Amino acid sequence: MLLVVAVGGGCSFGESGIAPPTNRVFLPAGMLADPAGNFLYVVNSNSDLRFNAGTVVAVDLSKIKSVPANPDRCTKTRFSRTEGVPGDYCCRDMVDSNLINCNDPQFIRDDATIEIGSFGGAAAMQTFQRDGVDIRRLFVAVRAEPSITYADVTVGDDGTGSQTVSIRCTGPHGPGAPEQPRNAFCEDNWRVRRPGGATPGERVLPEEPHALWFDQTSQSLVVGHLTVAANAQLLGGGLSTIDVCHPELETDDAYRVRFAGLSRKAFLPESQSQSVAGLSAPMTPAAPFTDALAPRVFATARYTAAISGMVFRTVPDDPSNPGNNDCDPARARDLTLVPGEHFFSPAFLPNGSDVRSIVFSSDGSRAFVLHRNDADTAANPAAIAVLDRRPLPDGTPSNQPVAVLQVCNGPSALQMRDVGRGERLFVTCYDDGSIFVVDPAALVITGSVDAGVGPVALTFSPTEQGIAYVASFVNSHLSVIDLRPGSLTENRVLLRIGLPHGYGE
Amino acid sequence: MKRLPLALVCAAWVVACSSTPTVIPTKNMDRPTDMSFVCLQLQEDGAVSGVPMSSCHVRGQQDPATHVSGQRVLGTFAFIPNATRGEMAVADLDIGRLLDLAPAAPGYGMLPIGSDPESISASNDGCWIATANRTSCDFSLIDPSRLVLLAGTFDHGSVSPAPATGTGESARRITTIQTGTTHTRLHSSTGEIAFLPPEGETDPAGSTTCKGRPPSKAVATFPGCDMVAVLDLSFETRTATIRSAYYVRSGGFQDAGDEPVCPVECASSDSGQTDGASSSGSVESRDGGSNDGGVIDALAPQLGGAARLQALTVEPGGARIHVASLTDTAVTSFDLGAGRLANPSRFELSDKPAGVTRLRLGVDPYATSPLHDGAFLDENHKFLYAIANDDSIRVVDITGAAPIECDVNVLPTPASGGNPCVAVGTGRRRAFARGPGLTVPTFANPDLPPPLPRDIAFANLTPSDGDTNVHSLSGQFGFLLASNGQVYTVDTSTHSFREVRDVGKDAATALLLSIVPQRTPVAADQAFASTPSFGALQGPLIKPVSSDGVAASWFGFPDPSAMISRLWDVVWEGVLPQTYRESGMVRSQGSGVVTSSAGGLSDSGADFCSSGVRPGDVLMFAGCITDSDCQPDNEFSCQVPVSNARGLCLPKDNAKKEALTARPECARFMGSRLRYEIAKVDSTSLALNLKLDEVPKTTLNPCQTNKDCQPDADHGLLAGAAPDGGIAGAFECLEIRPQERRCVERCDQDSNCRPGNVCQLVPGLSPPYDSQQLCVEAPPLDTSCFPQPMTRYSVRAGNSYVVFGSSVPRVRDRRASADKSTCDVVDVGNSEIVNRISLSAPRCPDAFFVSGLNVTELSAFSLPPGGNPCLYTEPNPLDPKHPAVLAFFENPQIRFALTNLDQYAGDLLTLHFEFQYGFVPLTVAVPNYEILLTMPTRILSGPAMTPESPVRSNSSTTISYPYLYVIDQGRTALTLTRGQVLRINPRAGSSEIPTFDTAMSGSTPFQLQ
Repeated sequence: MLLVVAVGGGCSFGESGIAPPTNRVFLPAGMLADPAGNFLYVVNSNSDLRFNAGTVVAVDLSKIKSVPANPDRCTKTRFSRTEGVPGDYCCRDMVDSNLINCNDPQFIRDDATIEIGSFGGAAAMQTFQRDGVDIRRLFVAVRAEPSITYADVTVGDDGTGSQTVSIRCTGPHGPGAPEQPRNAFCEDNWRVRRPGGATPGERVLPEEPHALWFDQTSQSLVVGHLTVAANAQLLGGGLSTIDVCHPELETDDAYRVRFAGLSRKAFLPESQSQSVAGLSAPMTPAAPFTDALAPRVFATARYTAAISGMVFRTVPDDPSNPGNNDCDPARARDLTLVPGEHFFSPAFLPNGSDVRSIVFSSDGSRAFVLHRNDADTAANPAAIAVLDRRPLPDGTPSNQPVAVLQVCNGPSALQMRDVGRGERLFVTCYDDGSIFVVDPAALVITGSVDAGVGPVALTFSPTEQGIAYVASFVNSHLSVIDLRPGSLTENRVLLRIGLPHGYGE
Repeated sequence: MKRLPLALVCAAWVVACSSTPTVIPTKNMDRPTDMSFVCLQLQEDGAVSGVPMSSCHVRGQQDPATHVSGQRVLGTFAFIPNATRGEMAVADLDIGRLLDLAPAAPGYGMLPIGSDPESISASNDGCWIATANRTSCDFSLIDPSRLVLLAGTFDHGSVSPAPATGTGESARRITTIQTGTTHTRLHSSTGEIAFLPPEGETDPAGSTTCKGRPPSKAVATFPGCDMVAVLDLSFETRTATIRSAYYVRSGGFQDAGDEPVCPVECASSDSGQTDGASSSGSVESRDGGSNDGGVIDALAPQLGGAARLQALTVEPGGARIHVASLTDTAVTSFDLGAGRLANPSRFELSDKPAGVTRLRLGVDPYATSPLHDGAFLDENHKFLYAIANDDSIRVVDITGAAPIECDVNVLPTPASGGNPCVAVGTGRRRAFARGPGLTVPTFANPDLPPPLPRDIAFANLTPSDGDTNVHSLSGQFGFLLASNGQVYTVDTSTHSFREVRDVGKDAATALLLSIVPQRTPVAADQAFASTPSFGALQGPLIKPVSSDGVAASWFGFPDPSAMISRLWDVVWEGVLPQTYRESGMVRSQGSGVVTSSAGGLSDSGADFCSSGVRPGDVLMFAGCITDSDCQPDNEFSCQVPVSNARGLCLPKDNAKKEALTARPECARFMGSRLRYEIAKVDSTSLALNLKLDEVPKTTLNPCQTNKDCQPDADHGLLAGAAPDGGIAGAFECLEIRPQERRCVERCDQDSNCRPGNVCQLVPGLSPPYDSQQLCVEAPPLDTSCFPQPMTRYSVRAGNSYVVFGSSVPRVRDRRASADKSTCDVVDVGNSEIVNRISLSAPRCPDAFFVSGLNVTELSAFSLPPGGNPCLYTEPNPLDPKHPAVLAFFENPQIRFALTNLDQYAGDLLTLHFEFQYGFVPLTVAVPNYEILLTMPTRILSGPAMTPESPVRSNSSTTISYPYLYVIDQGRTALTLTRGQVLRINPRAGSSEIPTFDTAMSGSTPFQLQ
């Protein structure tokens, strides 16, 4: 009996009542950079359910300037969460003397921290103005008690040259709302939720929101859902769409963020699961919103090598056509997506499932497809496959593979960015704890950055070319990495925000 | 004892809440990239030295013993660079095991060599190994005897032999790559490296040991500098000195002498680092600019932009090399003489393949000639293989002074027979071929692009006299490694893929019709279907053609040496590709732009043009079979509203359902066949007309009288006759439009029509039928009868049979116009690329009649452009008054005649047949689940022969079939290890089928991980 109690008590779920820390990075699963470059918004997932909630924290990047240039060497390679290290402590790493480790509280504006549900992950951002004030709206996919939780971020100036930041997710929307309690838990009217008791086919947010894609031109938020189980049956996760039009008018209920579409059939022919592994941007430049037939987003699958370019279902002469109106609140928009161009990344078939991302070259002639390989899908390669997107005689892209490149284990995300050397592909390598840099023209690896164990998010500084930030899930820290061409620390970590901890600490 | 429960509790608590378990890193392979082989020999003086591979293995001879009196005297070793950790693994091939170079440490100890070693070469004398380390911009030079002896492989008892080269470091980083005169250091990424044969010696085997032997010259490519250079390597000074170099780019080449200038891509890779330290830094220019080789731009602007020169191959003997770039379209060749590059020539590959990743030669690298190791498989036909960035391997004949690119996809002709290289542009290319190169066949799913060819290696498997195993590989073959993990076999005499049915060298088992054409109804997805019954010789049939009335052939084969599908179906009104969808949105007649008689359907995700939809085709609403076909499934379920009708998704809510079914418009729709004729097509929408219930007729037998329209009782054959009078009305031959006689049925009410049809005024007909109702297959669309947000549907080929072959790609003969408002016809450039047999096909041309009526074999006819398929008539012995209408059809794989098209076929007719020996490419067999290649990257011919080789020998011929080795970078375990080396026995066991060895392969296990 004692044994049973010990086993059960050793790791009880939730440990309700223990509030999450407001000034820490813990098991981060999502991250975004403020467009002005001064803050990072980090989603702490609380995936070990150590606390009763996850959080979203604002990391003040201006504090990096205050980090001592040559602090003392760290006294240990790992720090415990429970030891009394000052919040402003920094030290030079014991192993890598080029690297400075800093305790995270000194960077986190804990007065801005908000609480969200556990298992928060992917994040997306919408920017708008309300009464002349710039507002960033953060959307976070939360998998426990499934919801898309959103919050409005306001960055200001305190009059002394120091920037202020506040994150609101309680009370009424719009101006005149009462002051938000410190570190509040986001309220229901700041969440698109799956109501309790919802049946599988109900036109509400499905379970397991996993991926987010904000479509700027249509002002809609696309949510990718993993496989869910209901009534002992595996049901497809598919896609859902949330209408986020006119946030500046949100005092009117007609403009309220609202569920606007459900598509279970993301991949055709219907695969064993419609589990969506990733959502990727369509070709650049993005098609105008009036082009209703252009893919709004590409969905990739967990259990097949299928890729679907999703389009809004439309009838050209139908007034509910999303391409024919401009978020007119008088006409509810139907933002249901249907599979359009459907193809496979065929290089590794019948293996090669779990496609995490597809990125297109600037001229659209090539696509780079990231195939993930993790412990569950060991038979799949961890690779980038290059597809030829030039059209066949019938006008459809050939999608013929023209090159493959083995990359790191467990790659989870792929981005293309020019950080000073022309376009480069950046692969976030969860299992290997690194960021791979790949020359897309020659398809060769040109560098790798050790980024801590379990990197989940890579965000580029919007204001400093060549600086990027990595959130490491397992290590519970953020890394500032240097990608500047010619820098002596090119492709290295400059600073860790968060002291090195043990796995999962 | 009392403490035990407490300890258990504590242990349980710890286990219950432990974090991720500690992973002890293993030291086995991690992204292996290449492999090379070395022979080591115990010398008489007791030292071990590298020796030429011919000391261990000579083709055509038995291998010498590796042990004498228990003492190892010879050993064959493989050196395998691993890119992720920058380490070299060593394997003892005589026992098939990795060597532990650091026995005191966990796992298999390996040798640190540099960052991203992606190319390796062993010198012919066996004395040196070199690697090119791409991201540390340097080379490594390894003394193999010193390295291998670290693992005690030649130890015997207490005796540990010493290396002939003496004790010392076994490897050094060659961090100083310098120019020849001023010794200026270069910091450019390295691509591939290959040793050249030793100079000044005609027989390297004549030398005894490696003692005091410096490395021979090497040639290497530098992608960041777009340069190929001849190098002097020095182990002592850790330098690589350039003796001769050329820049090679898309604009041509330029001599760089021995003083090339390169962009700086790496920091000084030896600064602050010890040998073997791995750098994870950049390999790109540190000048702050993009890595575009700006130095060369200024120096030689005519050469064009950076092209990443990387691929390299050296001909046996080292007299000529070939290089190519990752983003260029050509192969550049050089002569090598006196250690210098000379006589460059550039050879453009056809169709501009956008780059070449690898170059290979059709050589056996361990075939021994008097002068050197390695020889072309056929000295009279020397081939270069370029693995191109267009998903193919280009074949270039380099036998003569001028290279010739071969088109391996041309249709064979009597003139080309026996010629292994038909020059590009001199023959007619096969119908579905893309470019001139070898492309992995996708026979199982022909619409998917093929996997990538990753590498190719060759083996001479010439059998001994009297070898009777006709199913084994007998001759010279390429082994093509593809990205899907399969290894395909290629006959180098024809550059065609070996098929499973092939026997001997050039013969093949004849195609066998294992299932003769059978007439079977398709799965009944059509409600109220007509299914006429036929006698054996009645109804549509594939007609055997016989010259003598005895021997008949059902089919001809336009290109019998190419791919022929195993499974075939000829389907009446078959579903067009990618038109079975669930996202249709119905539009009522008159809504918006819909002006057709029945309404329309939009599907913003569809591409009806590329699916080949055309006016006259049929849209059918698919209904449902199970509840899961209905979405949202909490609101709708699959129900059958009218007996014998197809299931429809109706509201679960009874009140809503009854409101729906109570509406007459909806009741008529739900009880109908739900089929419409497509009037107009664009990319995402269809305009629909009412589809007449009619008896289809061909262009050669249009109806003349009502009798022509009454094939059976169902269509009024017995109308009015006793006792039951047949159906109320009969089908009539009516000229519903000028010069358009159709077999249709007039009506006054729905009950006059056959089940599933409704009585409707059909717009657009000529008087008097514009005012008379006809039976149609569904009423005009009413969106209110479609309660679901979206609707399932499919599009069928109207009044046509569709020919499906299991290995025939879809026909892409339509594309959306620029504004997507129409579908344009695409010229596919080959009259054989068709898949429909339309009843309105043209009459066969007179010239065809002359030969066609006299054909004794189906292979004798060839249909002219525009006449495929075509129709003609011949007497019908069962019905002399009505000649039979035949269609002759030919696609790139098959031709046949379909007869009795004048007879009514009903709705569900399918003709199915199968060939037992249809195209299946021969791949290397995988004996069990242990062999799984997920990221294959290299294949090489090895020096060792298979154990069966002596068995295959006879008194006149000593056989030595080589092993081949495959390097796979895929994950092999749940830990962070990746990569393995597998071995192929090209004629394994008694079956002599090419097979992978496994860790459990009897006495010859092999699997390095």
